[in-house]
Amino acid sequence: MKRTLEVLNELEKEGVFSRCAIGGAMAATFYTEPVLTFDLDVFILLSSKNAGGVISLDAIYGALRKRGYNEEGETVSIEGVPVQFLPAYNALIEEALTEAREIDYEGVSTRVLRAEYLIAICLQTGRAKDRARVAMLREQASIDRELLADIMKRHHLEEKWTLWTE
Amino acid sequence: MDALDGVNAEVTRIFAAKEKRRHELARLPFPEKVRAVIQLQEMAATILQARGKIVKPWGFQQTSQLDRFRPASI
Repeated sequence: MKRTLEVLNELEKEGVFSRCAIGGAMAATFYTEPVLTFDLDVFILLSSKNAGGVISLDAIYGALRKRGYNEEGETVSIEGVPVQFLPAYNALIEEALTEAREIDYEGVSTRVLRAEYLIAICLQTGRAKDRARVAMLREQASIDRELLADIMKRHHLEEKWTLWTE
Repeated sequence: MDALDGVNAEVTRIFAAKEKRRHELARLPFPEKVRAVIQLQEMAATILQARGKIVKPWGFQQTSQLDRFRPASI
């Protein structure tokens, strides 16, 4: 995965996207016990949108193809790791990307979404596996309660939080 | 961990040990956790392939601190 992260950093440096951070199950794993996943979810802020404001991953796929990394379904295999690129699709994701924490992975600098934002994204997404992830994060991660409360208030997630945690 | 209704003391002790182990795993360095995820992928891939679903574990495997968390029976 080290080389995968290096490639992501190269793309960011080249301006293919303006910012990226690990999300999904692998980000949750940063805070909890390891959980099974086959994809590396990477949230991205695109450098620019296509004409008409349409979000497109074409530039990313093109840059990766030039490096010899090809699409496999919804992912691109980068050094043996299927990477799922997820463009920031709302204000919560954009904020989560901006606030992502910088970490070091075996000498490679990368970012991972904060646990509080992972919880908020799970609440917003609302699938059964998101509910399980929230439970695991609450049990095992060190959560900044004030930050979480603030995020939930601003993104209108308090009702769902109450529903999921009562 | 408190004793659970309908569960004897020995099972309660086992549950407590499992919970302790999960918290220990949560405290591992991130690269160690990534290696654990790959081990999980390899285990799951065999099962999923038997069900006709082809999945590929990520590309590497090496010995690590995880060995101390592996149950002796495996």
